Amino acid sequence: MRRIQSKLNTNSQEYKQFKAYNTQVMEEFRQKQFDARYTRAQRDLDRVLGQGKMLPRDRIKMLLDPGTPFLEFSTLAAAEAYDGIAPLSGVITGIGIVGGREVVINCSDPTVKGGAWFPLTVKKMVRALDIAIENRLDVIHMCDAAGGYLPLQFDLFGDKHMAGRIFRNQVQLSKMGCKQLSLVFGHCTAGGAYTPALSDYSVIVEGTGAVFLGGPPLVKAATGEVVSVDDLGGATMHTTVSGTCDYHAHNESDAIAKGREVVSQWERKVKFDLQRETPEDPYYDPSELYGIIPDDIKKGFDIREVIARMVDGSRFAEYQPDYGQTIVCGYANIHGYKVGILGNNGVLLNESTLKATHFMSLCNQNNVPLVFLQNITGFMVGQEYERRGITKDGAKMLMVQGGVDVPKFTVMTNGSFGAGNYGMCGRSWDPRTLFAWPKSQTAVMGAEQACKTLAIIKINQLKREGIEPDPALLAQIEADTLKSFEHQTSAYYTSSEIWDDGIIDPVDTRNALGISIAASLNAPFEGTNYGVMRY
Amino acid sequence: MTTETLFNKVLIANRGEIALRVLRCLQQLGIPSVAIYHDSDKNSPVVRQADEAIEIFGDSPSAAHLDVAQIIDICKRLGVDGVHPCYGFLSENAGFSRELANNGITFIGPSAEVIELMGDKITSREFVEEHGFPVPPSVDMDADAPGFIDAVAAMGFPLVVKASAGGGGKGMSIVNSKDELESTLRVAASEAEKYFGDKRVYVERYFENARHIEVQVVGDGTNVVHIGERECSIQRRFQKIIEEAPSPALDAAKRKEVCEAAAGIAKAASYVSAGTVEFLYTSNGEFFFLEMNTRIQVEHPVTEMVYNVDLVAEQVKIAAGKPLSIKQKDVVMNGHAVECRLCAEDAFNDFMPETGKVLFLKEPSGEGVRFDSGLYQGQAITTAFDPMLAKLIVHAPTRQQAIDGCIEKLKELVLLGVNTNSEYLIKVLEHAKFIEGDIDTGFVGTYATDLKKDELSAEQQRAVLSAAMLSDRSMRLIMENTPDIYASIGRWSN
Amino acid sequence: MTPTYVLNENTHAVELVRRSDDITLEIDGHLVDARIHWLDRYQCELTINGKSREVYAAQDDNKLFLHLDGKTFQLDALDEFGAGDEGGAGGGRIKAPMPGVMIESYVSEGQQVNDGDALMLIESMKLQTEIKAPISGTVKSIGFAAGASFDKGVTLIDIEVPGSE
Repeated sequence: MRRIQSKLNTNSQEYKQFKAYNTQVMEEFRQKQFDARYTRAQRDLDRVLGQGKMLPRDRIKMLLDPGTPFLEFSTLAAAEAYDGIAPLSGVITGIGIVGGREVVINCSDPTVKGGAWFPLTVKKMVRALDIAIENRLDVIHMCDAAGGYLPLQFDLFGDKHMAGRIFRNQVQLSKMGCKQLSLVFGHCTAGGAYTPALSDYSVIVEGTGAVFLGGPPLVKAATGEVVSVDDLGGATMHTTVSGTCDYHAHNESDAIAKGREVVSQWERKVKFDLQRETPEDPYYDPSELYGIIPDDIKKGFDIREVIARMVDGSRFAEYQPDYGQTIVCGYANIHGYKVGILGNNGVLLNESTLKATHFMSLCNQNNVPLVFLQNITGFMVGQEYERRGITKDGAKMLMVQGGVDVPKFTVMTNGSFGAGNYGMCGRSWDPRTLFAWPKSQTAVMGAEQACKTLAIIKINQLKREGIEPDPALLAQIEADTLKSFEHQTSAYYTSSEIWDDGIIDPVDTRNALGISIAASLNAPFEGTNYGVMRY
Repeated sequence: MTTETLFNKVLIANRGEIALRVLRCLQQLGIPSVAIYHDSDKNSPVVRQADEAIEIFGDSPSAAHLDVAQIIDICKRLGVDGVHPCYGFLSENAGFSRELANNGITFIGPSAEVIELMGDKITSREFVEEHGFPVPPSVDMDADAPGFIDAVAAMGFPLVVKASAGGGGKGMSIVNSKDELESTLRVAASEAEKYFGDKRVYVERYFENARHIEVQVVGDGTNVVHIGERECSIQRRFQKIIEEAPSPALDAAKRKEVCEAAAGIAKAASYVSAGTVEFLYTSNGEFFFLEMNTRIQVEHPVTEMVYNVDLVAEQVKIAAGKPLSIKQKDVVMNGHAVECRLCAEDAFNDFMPETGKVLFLKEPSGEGVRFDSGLYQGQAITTAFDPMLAKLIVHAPTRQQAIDGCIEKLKELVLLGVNTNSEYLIKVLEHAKFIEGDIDTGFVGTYATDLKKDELSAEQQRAVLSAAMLSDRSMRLIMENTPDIYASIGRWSN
Repeated sequence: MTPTYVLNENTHAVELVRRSDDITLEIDGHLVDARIHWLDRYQCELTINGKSREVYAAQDDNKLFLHLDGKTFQLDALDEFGAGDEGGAGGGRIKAPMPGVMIESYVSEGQQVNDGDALMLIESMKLQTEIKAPISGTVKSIGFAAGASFDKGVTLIDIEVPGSE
């Protein structure tokens, strides 16, 4: 494989301008991430520490193997919701390594409203378990939650993918042979009690851990019975009388030690033997990405420059390099693993759409995972393209993309608009993980385009009613709409809503993809049903 | 070489390094050997290498080795006609010697009478004094007698309380003032009763900064030769830890005087076999008889290397009725030898005994290097026996070369699993005063502030901690099980 | 988890940062480059920040023994999950300074003792030592009967100080 010949000029005005901009963007991002992870009211920290508990990140650090990474999902979940009272949405999820095995971590954060479940908390947990199911990963639950956040119960209970889905996912995981361990550090009440109960193994901490369908206040209200937390559902009772929990731990570190021992008994899965070569760092410095990503969504850049700073040795075997040049397709290695990369270099035209479709079929036939680097405003519109079947071509792309059996991974590098989002494997198309760069945008169409469109619609409507549109008013409407749109298309918004698995530093993309790919190999590649069609 | 057999079969009534050393001699002389062992020693080298090995039983390993009846019974059953008692245990037990004789078995050592004479510190002192050799001032009374305490106090302090039946540095306590005297006498009596079966104690003036110089003698009942002196001033708790031959304190004239005195004492006792006469040598050249050890000593190798003799072989031949093969004129000093006793202890922490297991052993070797040990991999080091694990002896043309050799070999020696005094020994060997030869029995105490463990440099500490983590079995297992990609991404989070 | 080791009574965290051909460690907050090449079960060549050494290593449970630079080191692998069981040694709890055998106890349970009183006689490596009371109080429990042997660090005698738990 040949190394990409970078044409980047790190001394250019543009490079320096973009770099200054992105440096600031990264600072802002890191601050938001830090706040979400660590900034808490002192009384919340005191309350948890005062109960003799460890902070959740310390629990995770003690649990995970030394010298191993932790790929955290959706740190900024709920960052723009609930008036900001639920950073992280109260739960830490991610992929970590315990006993050499990949595990999905589902760890409540009791410093956020006692670990209460907000609608987005539930969504984040369901997503983590979906990731476990899709990639056949074992799960470790670290339970310490107050229960559902009642003021918003309507939004977290009734529907198909709400709270019940957590437990349904737990059942599916167990059925497919994925192990689950629950470390009960705090209260598991009502529905929450099912997390340890549905876990294959559970450890409960003396004094602070408790599992019950109804806590003492509810029991008293329901039947008049007066009983203490410990007697009702404490560690001793559940490990000696009811058998609901397996191991009694006398403190948190003992629980974690027992947890690690449990995991060491789990079988080592046979992973799919994806083609792998000796890993190599990219030849070009990944931090140059800060000078490549533009300071304006409308400015373009060569996606090959991004690829060159992400793949092993900056080597890339480009597919059909002279055809359909608004999409770049080719093979590369990420941390040694062979992948097929698709990256946008402009709008999707007929040729590029068909090239992408063909390439995806090739990767499927070749048992190579797909990595989508999205920077797409959409498919080309207009009469010429419609006559040539751009809609049909788009459908072909979707049919193949949606039907491949190899794992898919998506990164929103810049824009992700309209049907382009779909073709390039957006959220609804089941990429195993989807990460977004801080300044990326996702929407039906770009904010400016949307505002102009809405303005045109408004003008037409007013005209139909016989009213002459007031330019000042129109300008105001446009400005307000633009602002609202910009907010709702921003990565911070989409990440807050958990429409992605987290915003990441562009430089971290390589590791995030490497870990995602390695974890995905725990699920078998299903195999193709059709030969490759030359679309 | 000789067709006549010295013995039909010799039983080694001991264990550890000395039993192995005696076995080597028996092998060289072509004499069939029997080793006796307590269960805790069943995997030791001497048990594996002896021609026959018989298990002995007792309430404790030591008790088994002191069980006269059991040992004699074994001798009779196996047709043993000679027993080498080595040092410690029954080596100075006259009763054992007699019982063997009663059963027609030769005790490879002096006669029971001489053992008793020299074994009793009070009678041996009197014997030596009678024959005109110098002894240290003491109180000529029974410890029980009224007025004893006052007489002792009148002699002046410091004093040393010694068990009459003691020896080898055991059963001795220093008293610095009258207040300490009573409790020290009590504990000393208790220890004496327990270890030596005889609670009699006597008290001598203690010469704080004297040198311990001893002379190796060998006799066959008619003739006695001396084989030079050894200096054993480096001691802790009255036990030697570094010995050397010859003594750096003696010039040729003094050497002759001390050695001939020793030979004279041995001759007066018509001494048979190998023995050692121990003297106290003061800073103004005076010397006093301390005790005579009627057995082969721990530190005999330094003499063997400097004078090119095999003392154990000599003992065996003499016991078989042969005359002394060494002539005094043939006793010629060649070079210098230093012995270091490797002990299981935390030497920098008041020499607290340590226990453990020999997890790994790599013995030092080389030109002029002798490593006498009964150590084997897997051996449990417990409080059942003496903390001495092995002896390192280096023989070289000069004293400094012998010292340098010891330091080099102590560093080369690898013994993992139990804490030893090797670093401490090196500190002594590197000390300016030791190098000058300006030493006495107070050395360890006098230079205690110098003999402190070296601080680790930051770099060394990093190396030690890195090595620890990377060799830690549980960490190696974790690292082995971490898939490559996660190991190379390492400790990272987004 | 964080690998932690006790060397000369000081605790050190030796974190694994990264491992491929080279290993990066973080010791007490400082990054260290390491390479290790095992020659056999006990012997390896260790290179730290460019300096190579021969190292011998052996282990008994959580006790690690190392030989390098001509010296032997013993470290304890600290179990960070350590149950933290029997709380610290109280003022009245006397631990054995070395392994040995109990010879005789001069006191019995429930007896009042004063600071400096002789409590018991122990013996180790043929050396007898009298254990004296470090404080005044009541003898709560005696660890061993006459003739029983004990390891270093175990509780020989527990003295209850009046007014404390």
